[in-house]
Amino acid sequence: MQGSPGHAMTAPERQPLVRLRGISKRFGDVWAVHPLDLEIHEGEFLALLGPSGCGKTTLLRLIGGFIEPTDGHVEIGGRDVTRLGPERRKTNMVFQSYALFPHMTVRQNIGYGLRIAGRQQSEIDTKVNQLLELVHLGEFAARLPKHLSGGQQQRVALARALAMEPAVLLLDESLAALDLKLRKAMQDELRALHRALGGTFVFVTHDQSEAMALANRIVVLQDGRIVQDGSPHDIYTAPRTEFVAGFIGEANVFDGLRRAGTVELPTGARISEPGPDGRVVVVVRPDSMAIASAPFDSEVAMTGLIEDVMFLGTHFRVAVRLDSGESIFSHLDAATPSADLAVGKRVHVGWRKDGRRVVEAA
Amino acid sequence: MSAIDRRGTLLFAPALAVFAIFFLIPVGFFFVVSFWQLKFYNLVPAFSFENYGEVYREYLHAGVFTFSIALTIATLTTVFAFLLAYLIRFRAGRFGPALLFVVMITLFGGYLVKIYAWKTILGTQGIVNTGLMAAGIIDEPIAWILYSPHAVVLTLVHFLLPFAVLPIYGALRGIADDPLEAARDIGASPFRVLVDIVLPQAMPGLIAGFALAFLISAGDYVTPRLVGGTSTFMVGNFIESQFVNRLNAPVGSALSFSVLAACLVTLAVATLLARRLLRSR
Repeated sequence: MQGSPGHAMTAPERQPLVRLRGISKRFGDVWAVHPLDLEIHEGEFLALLGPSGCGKTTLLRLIGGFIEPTDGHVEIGGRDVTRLGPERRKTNMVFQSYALFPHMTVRQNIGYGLRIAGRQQSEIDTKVNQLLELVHLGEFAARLPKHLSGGQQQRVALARALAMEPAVLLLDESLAALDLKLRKAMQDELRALHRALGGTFVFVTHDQSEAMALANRIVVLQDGRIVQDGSPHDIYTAPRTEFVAGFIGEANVFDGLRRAGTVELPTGARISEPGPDGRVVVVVRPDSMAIASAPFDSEVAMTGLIEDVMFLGTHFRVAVRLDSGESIFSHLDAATPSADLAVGKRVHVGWRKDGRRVVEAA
Repeated sequence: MSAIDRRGTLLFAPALAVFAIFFLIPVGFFFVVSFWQLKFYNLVPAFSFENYGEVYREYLHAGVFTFSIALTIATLTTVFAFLLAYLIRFRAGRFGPALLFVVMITLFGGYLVKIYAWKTILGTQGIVNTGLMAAGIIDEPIAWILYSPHAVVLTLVHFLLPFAVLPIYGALRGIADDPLEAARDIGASPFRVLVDIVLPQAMPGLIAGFALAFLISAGDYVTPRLVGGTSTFMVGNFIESQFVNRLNAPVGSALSFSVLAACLVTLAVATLLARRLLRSR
């Protein structure tokens, strides 16, 4: 069906902008990406998230055309581009190292793609001026990259990619080399750019907070496979595996054993959750973990001693040693009376049924 | 001057002394001599441009011939050296270092050894002629393969290649891979990447390689004598002859400094041209 011109009109649902079908990549004996399918839609701000070596950068480079897949197909805008090089795809990449041309000025860097495309000099100048304004680099136009800070180089790289008006903008750990403050500022700029320009952004990161901050869809990768694909909210509240739960945000994780729909925790507590027998993991986010001086309505009833209390401005982070020996932590409202949070105080610990997830053990 | 600067000067001193005693002073001496006169095989101090006039009248033709050969050699050497260095840096992958090592090893073979090797290959009894005769393509040996300007070009290009590969490879090694991918990404063909991104960054190495090859071939007088035959006389041969056979140091010096000046001008022009050609817009 691919390649037929009338296809887009007859398709009942929105056609994905990027479609990876059975794509895989093997380097020698190592599968960087196991065969997988992925569809990216127009307007998405998608994060490929995972630890180093999970295949996320390989996947991005497969989309950009920098490497050929071992198997499978890449379609962009309904066209099979599997065998086309990066110069023939409507994708543009912002490299982790920025990859600016060191012998060209900022202006020449940004305008290079347009010059290659044979645009008029006046048109190039206008476009480059707009982009310089967009990334706040107007006064640096005549400088060489080596005379710019990391954040400025980053913005030149961004402007150079945006100059090509890509159907998909690819960002490869583009913010990783920046310090925290600059990274936050660039995150804000990227969000603003995505709002202002629309378009489709795909970025690779190992930083879950960055993925949460930027993306409206997160694809979590582990060992070259997609382990979960959903909105940041879904992935945070409903992690599908122990790996995802541990990787995205903080979590209390209890090993459990399920028999006949009942999960037994090492604390002795039992909760009911239908599913196949075997080892499972119960995940409770620290903000769902409740602590109180008196018993309260909870799926499980546990007790322990407060071990440590940290005040973090917006909330308290409280560590509790359960009587059964496990350590848990909880985020409590900043308005909690500090008398309730004395170290060594005996407390009741528990959670509401909708505050925990039972997932398959790794 | 700080303590570190002073120590730096001290470290620099031995090299400076060698350079001054064995290069600057002799060169200065011969520069002065180039304005002197020779009377009955005796040097007579003077300040005359007569020697330069003689150089212009007698040797302009040889100079132009020498420079055209040297430019040919330098151009061929730079192009081949660039291709080889490019292969080592970008295409050979893990075989790159091994290839570079092979290039380095050829430096151990002496200058004269290589010239005689080419004499053997190109001579009437050489592999080329015997091979062509055995194949029945020719009936008798072709004499002009050896003892011609072509043989000089061939021999010197072969000899100079590793010298040019080194600076060019050094320059290419300093070029990061990511910007090359980035250029492809925004629409540049592999050829445009080469011309717009690689070559401008390789410029210092290319100029160094070209200058080395040009200066060595413009000043060479051994190769033309051994493989150039009776009709290939380069300026170096005439300088040698002025000093050794005619014992005319003033004219020999004037000829040397004319060649030196012409070389510097040629290199300056070549550098400007290359820069202009590869300027980013």
